[in-house]
Amino acid sequence: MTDRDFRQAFDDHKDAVFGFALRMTGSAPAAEDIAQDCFLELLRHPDWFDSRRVSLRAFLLGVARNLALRWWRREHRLDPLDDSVEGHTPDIAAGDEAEFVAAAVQALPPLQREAIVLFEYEGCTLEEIARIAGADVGTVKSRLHRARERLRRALAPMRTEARGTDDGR
Amino acid sequence: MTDDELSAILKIWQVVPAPPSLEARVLGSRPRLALSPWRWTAGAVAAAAMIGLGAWILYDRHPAEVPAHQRSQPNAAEMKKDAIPPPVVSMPGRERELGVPPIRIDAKAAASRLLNSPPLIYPKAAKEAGIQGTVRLQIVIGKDGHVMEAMVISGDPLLAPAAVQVVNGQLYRPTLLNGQPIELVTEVEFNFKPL
Repeated sequence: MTDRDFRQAFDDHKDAVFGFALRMTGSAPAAEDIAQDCFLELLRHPDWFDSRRVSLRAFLLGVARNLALRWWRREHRLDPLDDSVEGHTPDIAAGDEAEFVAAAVQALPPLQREAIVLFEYEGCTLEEIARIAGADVGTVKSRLHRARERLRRALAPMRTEARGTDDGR
Repeated sequence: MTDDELSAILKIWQVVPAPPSLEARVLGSRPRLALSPWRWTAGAVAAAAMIGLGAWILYDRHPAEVPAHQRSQPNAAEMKKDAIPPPVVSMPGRERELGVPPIRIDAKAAASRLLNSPPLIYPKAAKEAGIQGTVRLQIVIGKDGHVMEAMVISGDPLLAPAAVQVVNGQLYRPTLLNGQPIELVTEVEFNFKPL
């Protein structure tokens, strides 16, 4: 990988990698660390990226995903990665809608969160998510389903509020 | 709530783009890609010098013309007698900037910042001679996380080049002070024990 290629890769994917890390961690400094380490990995091991198997974007998101999970394990040593932890549901009256949605997504267990973030925000296909997460497509579908069920419950107050506003007109 | 309605609600949460500081941190960490031709030449000369030094040390103890099965076991005391501590080794292609001295951190803190390290290879000559022990190095970690310099503090001269080779391939997480990348100095230890 030449200097120019690396620069191009950074310019093209820095926002996606940073955004993904930010949504996974909820911390801008942690997201910046993860994004930095992610590009350093590409710099250090350009041969790990095989363009015949995966797009550069998916490769970088895969690296960022592993770094984000490592960060999560460090910060939440006692919590399981998948399921069984009912996250804190925020109060919609306490902040604006974006904060409410952010809190609901970040309350998901990490493996469900990565599935929903990659699918909804990064526009990845099920196959891409499976490759990034190192899981099969069926597992990814299951994680997405459980994430959506949980989000439906957490975000239901937003729908009720919108309906209440409509009814009041 | 349908999947489409849920998607629309989720899209309310938009995150900020990557901050400019990320660019400085990442693009400031690629000296080996940005080296000018004369630096590559200097790096190649330094690498050749290191290889030559290593070969000289090995050849001095095990001349190639003597078959392995005819070699006498080297006398450890004899080897220690002429053991000259190697000087500070600058890593090929990496040059330190003059100015602010590196900040010292302890080995544990340095280990927590280690991102990647090649495997430690027990030198064949040392293994055959039954030499084992610990090599301690003082290393300077550059602003980009690569090791810029290594100095052997203690350890057998037959083992030290292998330890230097490992730190040459190590990558640490770059450290920022007031938003600026800084150089660190620390000590690392490598234990050589036959399996």
